[in-house]
Amino acid sequence: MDTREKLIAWMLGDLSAEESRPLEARLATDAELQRQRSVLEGTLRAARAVPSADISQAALQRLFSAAALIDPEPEETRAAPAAHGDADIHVGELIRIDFMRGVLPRVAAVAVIAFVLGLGVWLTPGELQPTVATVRDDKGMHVVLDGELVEARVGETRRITFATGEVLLDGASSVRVRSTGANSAPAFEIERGRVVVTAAATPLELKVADRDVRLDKGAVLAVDYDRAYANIADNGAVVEVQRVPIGEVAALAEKAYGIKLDVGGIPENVRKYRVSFYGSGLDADAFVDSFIESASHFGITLDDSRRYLGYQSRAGTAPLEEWQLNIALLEGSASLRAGAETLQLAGRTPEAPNFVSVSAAAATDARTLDAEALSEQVVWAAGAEGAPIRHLRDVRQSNETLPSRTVIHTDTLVLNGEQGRRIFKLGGPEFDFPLPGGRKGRLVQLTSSGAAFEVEGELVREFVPFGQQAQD
Amino acid sequence: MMPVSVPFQAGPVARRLSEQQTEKLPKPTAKHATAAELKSIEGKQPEERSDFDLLKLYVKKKSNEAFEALVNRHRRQVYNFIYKMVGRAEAAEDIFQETFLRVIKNAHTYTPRAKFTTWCLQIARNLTLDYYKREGLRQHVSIDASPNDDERSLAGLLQGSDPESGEILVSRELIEEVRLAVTRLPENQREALVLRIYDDMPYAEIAEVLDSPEGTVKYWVHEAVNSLARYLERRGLK
Repeated sequence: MDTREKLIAWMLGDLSAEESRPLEARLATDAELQRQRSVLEGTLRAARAVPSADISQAALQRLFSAAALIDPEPEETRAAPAAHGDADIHVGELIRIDFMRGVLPRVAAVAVIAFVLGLGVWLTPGELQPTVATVRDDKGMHVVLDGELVEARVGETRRITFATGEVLLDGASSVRVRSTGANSAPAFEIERGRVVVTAAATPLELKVADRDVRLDKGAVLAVDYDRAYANIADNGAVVEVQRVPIGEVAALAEKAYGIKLDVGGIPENVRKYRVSFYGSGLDADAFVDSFIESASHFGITLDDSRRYLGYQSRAGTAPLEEWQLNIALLEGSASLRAGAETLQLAGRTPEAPNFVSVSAAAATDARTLDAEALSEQVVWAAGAEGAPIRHLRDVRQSNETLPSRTVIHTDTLVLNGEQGRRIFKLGGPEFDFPLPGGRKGRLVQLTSSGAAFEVEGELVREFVPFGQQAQD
Repeated sequence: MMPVSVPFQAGPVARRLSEQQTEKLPKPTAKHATAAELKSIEGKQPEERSDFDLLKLYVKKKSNEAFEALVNRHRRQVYNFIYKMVGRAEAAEDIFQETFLRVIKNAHTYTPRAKFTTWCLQIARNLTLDYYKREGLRQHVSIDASPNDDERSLAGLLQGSDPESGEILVSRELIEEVRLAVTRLPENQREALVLRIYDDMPYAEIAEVLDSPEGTVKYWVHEAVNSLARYLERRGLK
């Protein structure tokens, strides 16, 4: 131990009296040692002066709420909770139709929703399931159990975190989480939506559209799985209609709003064309207007009584597929297995500078896009160097090479001089982004509905919805 | 039964090994609490109930009040440990919540062999390490790096001396400098420093939490103080 180390030990009371005596004698005469003691005293005083923090009441309440759902004595005998089929499931005004799945997943999904609504559905009869991950969103945090379906609504961002990575759900998305063992990363099944998966510390397995994807350690993958889905909740407070056949939308309107729409005037084949529209707070009239607006480019009309749908032949309109899958590898390496074929997914290349990797719309379809196709596809893009866990968004019809560390957002992108768009830079050192209230922030994350900033001079991260940001 | 021979090994791991190998009967856990025990605990004043008492009430009677009392009793120490380790309130709150969810998930297996705070801090520490791994923060930024030219001298952050005591007063900015510098220490040094300096925890207990020999823990604390002092010296602290 050198003299300085001894001095530190002495100041912390870690030397015996016998060890201390010679040091104290030297301190009385040695100016350099006295200077060092002064510095160390200042250091310790400043270190001890760092104030203690306390957890917020909101976080405590979230903890207590989550704890109330956990069984503290799982192996003890107790009255078995009702099985799924016997549970008193009541989902109020919620109507949810999943066009590509069987009955069981629908029941499970409804059970999860009912559970979230606090309606007492036991998801895990018999014994406590292990915690697989945690979910965080604007409302707080809760634990994810094996087999649980995690969903995000339109405009809502939710983050599933676990020891070695994370999965980000960016609005209208749904991911099932499965345990793969006590000390292993969970596996994920993406049921729909836009999801960014990060395998930070170990490889990850995920399933999407009957494809198996393996992310190697360090990989970041963006998935856009746009598929038939409908959800109308709370009298139209939430409306999500995605790739739903026109005939089915009419049936949905009757179930949700009691409106009878007669589709007899539409040819059988046209009734199968699919439409997408979304909304919040839609009453019956607004729902019908949204529906007709989205279907009008197929030639669908509505008569003055607002009851009978008609059809005027219109050429050159390509119907939507039942689903479309786009996968882009943003960081690292990954592979995708579709049937017997295995694709090694490519990241950015000189030919495809904006990350697009795979696009598919049929069961056996798995192809790597070339640069020419890039301009026709949805591209998830970001200058992700040094920012592998950042949130990414889509860019349409762009084949421009992006500057490093740049993230672009559809609503605000400036490329090729197109109006109403803007480029953001992530993770820069300066707090130069103007925020409401005259404050300055550093952009750290983009989502579908806004951006997150670290605020200068404050130990907080703040989310600011688009439209509320000051323009510079 | 044949006597078990335990070779001498220093440190808490060896001590635990020794305890485990020489134990003839498993120690009772919270789930073994009898009705009479529970009645006795319920007869105590809330502040007289031990941590183990509260866990028994929680496990056997699903007493949310007992759980809340346990959290409130230890929240400052546990939260401060996490917060000073990760340096971000949002992440610290997540880890804090997960820590206590793990506590109740494993409450039925807890025995008072270790202090509750030690056990709880071990869980918090493991979750904090998971956080580093997940966030890619495992590699600390060395505070030995030269400060930027445009950084202000620390001398300017000191508020002068108290005319009566002659002591240097510490400004809020200097405290913030130190707080941030602590987050840049290597993990083991940071853990040891936080538990020793802020919690005033005895070295033996820190050794339990960090599962490392006591001598090593002392070394880490000394190194941490030394690194901070060197950093502050370079920033102008005389």
